[in-house]
Amino acid sequence: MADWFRLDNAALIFPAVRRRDWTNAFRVSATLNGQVQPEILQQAVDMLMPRFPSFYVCLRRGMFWYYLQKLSVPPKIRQEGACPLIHMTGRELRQCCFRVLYYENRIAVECFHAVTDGSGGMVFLKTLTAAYLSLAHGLEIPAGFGVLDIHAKPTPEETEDSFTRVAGTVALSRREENALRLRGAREEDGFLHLIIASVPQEQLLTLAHRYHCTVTALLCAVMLQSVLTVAKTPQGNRWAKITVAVDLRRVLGGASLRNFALAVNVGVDPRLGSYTLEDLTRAVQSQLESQVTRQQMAARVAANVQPAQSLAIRIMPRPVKDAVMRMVYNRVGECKGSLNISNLGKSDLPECMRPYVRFLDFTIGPQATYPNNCSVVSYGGITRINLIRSTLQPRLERDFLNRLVELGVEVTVDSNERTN
Amino acid sequence: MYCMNCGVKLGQGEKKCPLCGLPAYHPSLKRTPGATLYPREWTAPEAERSGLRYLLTVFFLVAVGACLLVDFLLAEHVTWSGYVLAGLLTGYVLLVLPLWFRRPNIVIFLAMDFAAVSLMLLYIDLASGGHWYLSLAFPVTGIYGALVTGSAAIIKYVKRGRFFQMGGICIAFGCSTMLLELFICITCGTRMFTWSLYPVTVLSAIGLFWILAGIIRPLGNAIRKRAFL
Repeated sequence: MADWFRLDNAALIFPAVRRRDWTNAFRVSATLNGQVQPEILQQAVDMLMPRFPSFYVCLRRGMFWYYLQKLSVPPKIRQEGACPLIHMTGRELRQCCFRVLYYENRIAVECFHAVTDGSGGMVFLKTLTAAYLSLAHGLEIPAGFGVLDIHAKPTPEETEDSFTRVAGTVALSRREENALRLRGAREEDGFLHLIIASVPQEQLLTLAHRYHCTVTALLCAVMLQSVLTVAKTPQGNRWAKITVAVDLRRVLGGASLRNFALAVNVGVDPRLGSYTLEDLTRAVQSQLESQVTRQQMAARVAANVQPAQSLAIRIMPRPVKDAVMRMVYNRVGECKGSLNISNLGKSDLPECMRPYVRFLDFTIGPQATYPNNCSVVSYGGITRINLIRSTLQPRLERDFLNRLVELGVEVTVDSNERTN
Repeated sequence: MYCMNCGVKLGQGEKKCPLCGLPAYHPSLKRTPGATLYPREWTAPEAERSGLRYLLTVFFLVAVGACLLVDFLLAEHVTWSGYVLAGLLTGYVLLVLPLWFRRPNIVIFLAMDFAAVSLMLLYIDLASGGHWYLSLAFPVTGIYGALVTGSAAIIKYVKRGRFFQMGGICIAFGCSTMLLELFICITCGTRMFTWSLYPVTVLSAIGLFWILAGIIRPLGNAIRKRAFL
C-alpha cells in the first residue's frame, strides 16, 4: 500500500478554504465512568495506527493537489484545555491531522475534516475507546456497533473515495438562495463556547412523532424558528435555512472511513409571513424527503466530482486551484445555510462496553463566517445536542433550548464557560 | 437545579445558567459542585502567522539590489539609488517590520516610524546639501513624532476620560501648527502667523467642544448615543 492518500472528493475543499484563524474540524468524544489513564490511552492510540491508515496522516502540499502523507509515528495524546476545537494551524496539520485529548473521564478526538466525516470519526473513537477499555479493564470486546476489529487488516473499501464510485452522470445545479446570516460580537481570542443539552431520546422521538417527522426534521424546524427570531429580517431575499449533513453510507451504501457525507439545505422564505412549528416541520420534512433520495444524492455528488475530474482543473497549479475553490466556497458554500445541523443518529456500543461509557458527543466547529453550529448524537437513551458558537452572546442557543423546554422536553445543560 | 429564567436543568458543574447567566441558587437546596465539563482556565493559542512578511522582505531586498546594481552600472557609484534605498528602508520599517512581531506595540512602532522618516530626511539633506534638516525636518518630525506617539500612548493606556483626551489631542495638534510655521519661517525666511492661526483656532474650538462634552454629562451621553463605534 502506498504511503500517501489522495484527498477524497469532499476533502479537496477543506485545505483550500482554511484561514489563519479557522479550519474546518469536528470532534467526537466519549465520557467514561472512570478517570482516563493517559499512559493506557497512549498505548491504545499507538495500537490503532495500523488499523486506521487513512487517519494517521498529515497534510502535505503537492504541485497540483494537497495529499495526505501517512505518519511514521503515532501522535502524542494531550490534556484538554477550556476550549474545544482550538484552531488547527498549518504547522499542526503538517504533523498530524487529528488530536487525541483527555480530560478527567473523557476521551476526545478532534479531527481535520479532510481526513474523515463525523461517522468515520465516531468509528475511530469507538474503536479507540474499545482498545482503551480492553487495555485498562481486560475486556474482550467483539467487533460491531461501529467498533472495528483492531487485529484485522484495513479493507480497500474503508480507505476508498466513495464519491467517485457513486457519482451519477447528471450533475445537479448548486444554485439557490443565500441564507439569513446570524451576527454577533465575536470572541477576540478565538474562544469557542460550547453548550451541551442532554435530552431524553424518548421525549424527542415522541415529539417528532406528534409532528409526523423525524428527529432531525424536528430539530431543524425548531432551529429555524429560533433563526427567524434571532436573525435580523429581512436581509434582502435571503431565506432562513439549515444545512443538514446527510451520511451517504445510509443512502448509497458503503463502508468508507473517509468523507462520505453531503450537505442539503432546508428552509423557508421569511418574506412570506410567519410560520408555526407545524408549518416548519412539514416544510422541512418534505424538503428532506424530496432531496435525500439515491438519485438526488448521486446527482449532487456528480456536481462535485465532475469539476474535480476535468483536465482543466487537474492541470491547474495548486495555489490557483486554492483561489478558485475559495471563490466557489464563498459563493456556494456556507452562505447557503444559516447554520449546520449534523445528526449522527442513534449510536450504540457492544454490550460489554456500555457500563463503562456514559455519553458520546459529537461537535462540529463553527463555520468561517457563520458563528453557530449544532451537532447531535444519541446514545444510551440520551440525545446530546452540542451547540457551538464563536460569538459572545448565546442568543440562538437560548431561544432554541427555551423552545424545546416549552415543548415539554426536559433539557439539562452543561457548558465550557471560562473563568478568565 | 433548574434555571428560573430558562427552565433548563443545570449540569452539576454549572455555577450559573449558560443561557441567561442567572446564578444557580436556591435558598433551601445545598448544591455540591460537580466536575466541570471543561477546565475553566483558558489561554488563547498563538495566532497563525502568514508568509506575507517573507514575501514582502524578498520584494524589498530585490528592489534594493536591483536599484543599486543599475545605478552602479550606469553611474559607477551611488547617485539616485541612495534616495530610493532610503525610501525603501523607511517603507520597510513602516509596513513590514510590524509583521515580524506577534503583538506589535503601536506606541513603539509609531516612534520608530518617525525616527525612520527623520533619518531618511537626514540622508536626503546630506546627499543634496540642502541645509534644512536641523532647522526644519528634525524639529518637525520630532514634534509630530512626540505628538502622535503620545496620543497613541494615551489612547492605548488611559481608558478613562476619552472626551478630555480627544480635546487635549486636538488642542495640542492645533498648537503644533504654530511651531510648524515658526520652523518654516526660520528656514525659508517667510512671515510668521500668516496661516497657522486658522488651524489653531479651528482645532482649539473642536478641542474645547470635546472638553465641554466631558464636563457636561448630558452632552457627552448624547454624543456617545449617536456616535458610538
